[in-house]
Amino acid sequence: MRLGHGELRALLPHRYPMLLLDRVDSVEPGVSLEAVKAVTGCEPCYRGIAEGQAPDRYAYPASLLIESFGQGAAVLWLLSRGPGTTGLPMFTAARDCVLLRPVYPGDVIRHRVRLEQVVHGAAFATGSSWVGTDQVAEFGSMMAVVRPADAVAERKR
Amino acid sequence: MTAAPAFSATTRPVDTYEAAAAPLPAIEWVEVSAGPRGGIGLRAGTTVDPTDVYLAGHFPELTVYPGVFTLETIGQAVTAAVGYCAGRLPHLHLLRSARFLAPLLAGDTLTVEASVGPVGEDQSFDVTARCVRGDGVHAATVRAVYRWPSADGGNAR
Repeated sequence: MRLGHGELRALLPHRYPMLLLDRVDSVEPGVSLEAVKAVTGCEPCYRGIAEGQAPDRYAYPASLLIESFGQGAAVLWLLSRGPGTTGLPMFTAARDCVLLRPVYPGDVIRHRVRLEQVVHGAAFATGSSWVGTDQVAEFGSMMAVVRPADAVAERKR
Repeated sequence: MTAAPAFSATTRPVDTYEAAAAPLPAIEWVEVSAGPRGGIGLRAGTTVDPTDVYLAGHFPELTVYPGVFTLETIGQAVTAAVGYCAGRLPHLHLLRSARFLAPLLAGDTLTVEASVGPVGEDQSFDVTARCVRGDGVHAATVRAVYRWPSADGGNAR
């Protein structure tokens, strides 16, 4: 199974510029997924850099790399939950995530995600991220839940 | 070489944001104090701004400060507090554990209280952070290792 960007938009509530997956190349629902995120210098995370900074300052932010992997995990989980699933996927915990080398504009990140288990409505995923043959990150464990937007917003009412 | 993190009392949050790619200016203020064994303590804060370009996509129906942006707040606070080493900024290397316990919505304030360092011989240092929402609710706990990357930009284990 392959999912284009439109299908990802239908699955995830994230929108530009926080929808950080471009395509899913393969997925075995409930088991594993391989997703692609192309990094470009046009992304808003590059808008604020002062002129004349050194090349290493253009490394893609770790926060967005982790979020991108997490969205791959969310897609894998949501596909296994079947139709009718609504709510906001919330990243609730992580353990032993290692960032091995920086990613730069022009790199294409490939996330390899495995869904380890789903317990009491919480999903646990693991995996790695690659640019070409270089591993750029390893994710020991990422945990997410899906919460209805009304429940998340309740405190503000 | 082992050295204590250099206090950077003149580093303003805006300078940290403009020094490298970042999804948003993730700290409004930062305070640094001396810690045990040559480490430092830091406090930093921000307010969730629903007009931020990334937050507009997370999510259109309800602004929720993503867990990874709490990591971004901690990272920018650490950068502002410890400064540069040989012209390089510290990078998140290992996320030992992160727990996101309560959502941060539009207008919420986030205060980070963290212990940082001391610095090891490989130029890495531990960060243990407790994050509190404006109403006093414990919002997140993060334990991580940051390091100033080697000259080739790598972040190998």
